[in-house]
Amino acid sequence: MSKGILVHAFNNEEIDYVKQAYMVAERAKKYLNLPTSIITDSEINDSMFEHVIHFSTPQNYTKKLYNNGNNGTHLTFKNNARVLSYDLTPYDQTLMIDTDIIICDSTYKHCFEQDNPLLMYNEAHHLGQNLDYRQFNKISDPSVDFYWATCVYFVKCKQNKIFFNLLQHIEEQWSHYRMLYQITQSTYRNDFAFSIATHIMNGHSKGDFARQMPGKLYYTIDKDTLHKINDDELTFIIDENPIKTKAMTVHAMNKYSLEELL
Amino acid sequence: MNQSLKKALEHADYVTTFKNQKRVLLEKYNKDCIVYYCGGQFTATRELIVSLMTIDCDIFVDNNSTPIKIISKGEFHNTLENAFIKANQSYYKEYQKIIKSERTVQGIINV
Repeated sequence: MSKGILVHAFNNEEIDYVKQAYMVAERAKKYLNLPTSIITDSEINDSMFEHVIHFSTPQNYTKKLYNNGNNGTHLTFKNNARVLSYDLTPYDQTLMIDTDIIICDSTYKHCFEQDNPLLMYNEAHHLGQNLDYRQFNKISDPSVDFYWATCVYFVKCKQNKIFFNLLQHIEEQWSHYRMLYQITQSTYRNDFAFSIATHIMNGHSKGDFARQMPGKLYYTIDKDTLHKINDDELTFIIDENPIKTKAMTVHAMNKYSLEELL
Repeated sequence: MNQSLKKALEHADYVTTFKNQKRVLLEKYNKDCIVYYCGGQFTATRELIVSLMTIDCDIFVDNNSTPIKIISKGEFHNTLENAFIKANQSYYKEYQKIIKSERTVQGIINV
């Protein structure tokens, strides 16, 4: 069975996702000994990626607020190809991750050593201590459990084909599902679509259709700053205090500070 | 600014950073205690390590409530024990570094 990492990298006005994808590919090779393939609309001629999957089909782009510390800008967010990952991936076993995940240990390799065909995180842990976690417990207050599309392991199988087809349907009919699941935010968000699809596949209830990814998902928000990267040591500034991690994979959402250090 | 107030605020920053670093070290310790074996995920605890060989059963329920058949209990025991020892040693070593560092924010971050 072929296995590897899959990243989506669609640059916008200010953020160079392809540059971040290079970082993911380098670290995936170093810490996980796995190849990386990229889905992008940019021209890439580089052996860092095992496969370059060109995807330039017109999409319904959305606008998203990108914060760099306390300064925010609304930029284009091309996030619709993610629901097509099942058809686009070149691997039988795929770990699809965001380009702003800084791999610093080998935890993710355990995805490939177990039998569950679909793994996602439904919990994430902020590295600071003052953030209210509740915003990520449910997709909206009266609605269903939150699952992170940030990091998804899936195997090619009938069950996952149905799951990804359902995701495409939810994305196409977003205005309906947004109302049905009482989501106040109007823009499409992959985390919400994955959460809704998981809920449906669980028989419209809680369940274990998607099992837990190995380890914990640690993250910093885009108002936090990544200050330094030194191999597997990361230093963040959170609430004006420095926090240093070692050998812990972190989802660093401030893409500006991440890019400055690459 | 009054010198004594400045020192108090610096100390408050130091304590916050110290607590943050200790919390991050504990998170890493908990992560290091996780063992992936026979497709299951287990936490290497004193209780599991000590009781493992005394229970005449080769099925164990993992952290995700999945029953896992352990093919070699001896090997599983060694894997758990090694992970537990390594995690404890690493936690102790890193904690010693921060308590022996210069008692400033920069001192902790520089270790």
